Amino acid sequence: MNIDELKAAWQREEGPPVTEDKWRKMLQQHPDNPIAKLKKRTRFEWIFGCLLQAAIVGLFLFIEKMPAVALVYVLMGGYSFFYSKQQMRLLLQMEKLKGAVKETLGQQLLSLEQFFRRNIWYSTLLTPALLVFLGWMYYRKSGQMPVSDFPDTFPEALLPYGGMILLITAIFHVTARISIRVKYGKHLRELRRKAAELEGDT
Amino acid sequence: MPPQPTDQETFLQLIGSNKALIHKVCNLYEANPALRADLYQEIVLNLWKNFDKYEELAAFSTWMYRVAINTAISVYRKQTLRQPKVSASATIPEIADNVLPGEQQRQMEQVYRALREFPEVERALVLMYLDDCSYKKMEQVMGIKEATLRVKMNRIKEKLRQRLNQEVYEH
Repeated sequence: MNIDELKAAWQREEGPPVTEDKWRKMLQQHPDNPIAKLKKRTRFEWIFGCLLQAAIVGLFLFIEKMPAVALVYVLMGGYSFFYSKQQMRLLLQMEKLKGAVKETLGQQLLSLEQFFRRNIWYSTLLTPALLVFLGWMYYRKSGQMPVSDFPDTFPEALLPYGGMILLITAIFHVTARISIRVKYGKHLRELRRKAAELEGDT
Repeated sequence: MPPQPTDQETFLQLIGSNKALIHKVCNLYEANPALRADLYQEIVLNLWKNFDKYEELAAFSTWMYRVAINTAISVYRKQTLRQPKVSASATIPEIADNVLPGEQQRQMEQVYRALREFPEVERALVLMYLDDCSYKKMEQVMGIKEATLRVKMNRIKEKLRQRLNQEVYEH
C-alpha cells in the first residue's frame, strides 16, 4: 500500500455509527480520570483541614482559653483554605483545553508540577504544626500525670522535642517527595518528553 | 460559563458529523480496547466541557482536533502500563466496531498498528496529514511553526513509507 492509497482508505474510515442516545449518555457521565480523582482528593483535604482546624481553634479558644494560640491556628486554617483554592484552580485550569497542543502541554506540565510542589510543601508544613500542637497538649497535661519520663518543663523539653519535630518533618518531606515521584513521576517524565518532542529536541 | 442545555443539540449535530475524527484519535492513541473506550468518552466529555470556548470563527474541525489531540497527548489519563497489553490486531471493541468491508478493515488495522509505533506528537501530525489538513491548520492545532512542521512532516512521511512497506512484507 502506498501513501496515496493509505490516504484514501483513511479518509473513507468513518468509525462505527453512534446513536444520539449514546452521545447523550456519555455527556451525563462523570469523568473518572486522574484529574477528577485529584479534584476529589483536594476537596476531601479541604473538608478535613477545615474540620481539624476548627476543632483545634475551638479547643484553644473555649477550653484552654488561649486566644493567641487559637489565632495562630486560625491563620493556619486560612493558609489551608488558600492552599486548597489554589490547588483547585490549578486542576480546573488543567481541564480547560482551549490552546494549541504545544501551549496546552506546557500549561499541563507547569500546572501539575506546581500542584505537586505545593502538595509536598503543604504536607511538610502541616507536620510540624500538628506536632507542635500535640507537644503543647502533652506539655500542658504532663504536669498532671503521676509518672512521666518526659521533662515537664518547657525549656528542657524544647530542645529534644524541637529536634524530633525537625527530624519527623524532614522524614515526611522526603516521604512526600518519594510518594509523588512514585505515583506521578512517570507521567511528568512523559509530559516533559512530549514537550521536548514538540520543541523538536528529539 | 458552562455550556447551556440548548447548546447540546448543536453540539451533538456537530460532533455527529465529525465523529470519524474521535474514532481515529482513539485508535491511534490506545491499543487497549478498554482504555480506548475510556479515551473516547474522555474526548467527548472534554469537547462538551470546552464547547463554550469554541469560537465559531475557527472551523469546528480545527477546534475538535485541538481538544481531541490535547486529551490524547497532554491531559493526565490512566496509565497504559497498568493495563494488560493488547495486540493492535485484536478484536476491535464496540466503540471501534469496524464498518468497512474485510480488506479495508485489514488495511486499517495495519495502519493503526503501524502508526501506534510513532511517538505521540508524530501520531497527531500523521493523523492530520492523512486527513489532508493544511499546514496552516496543523499550525493552529499543534502550535508549531509551519517551517518546523514541514521539516517534521518530511521525516514522518519517510518513516511512514518505511513502516508501511515493512507491514506489507510482514504479512
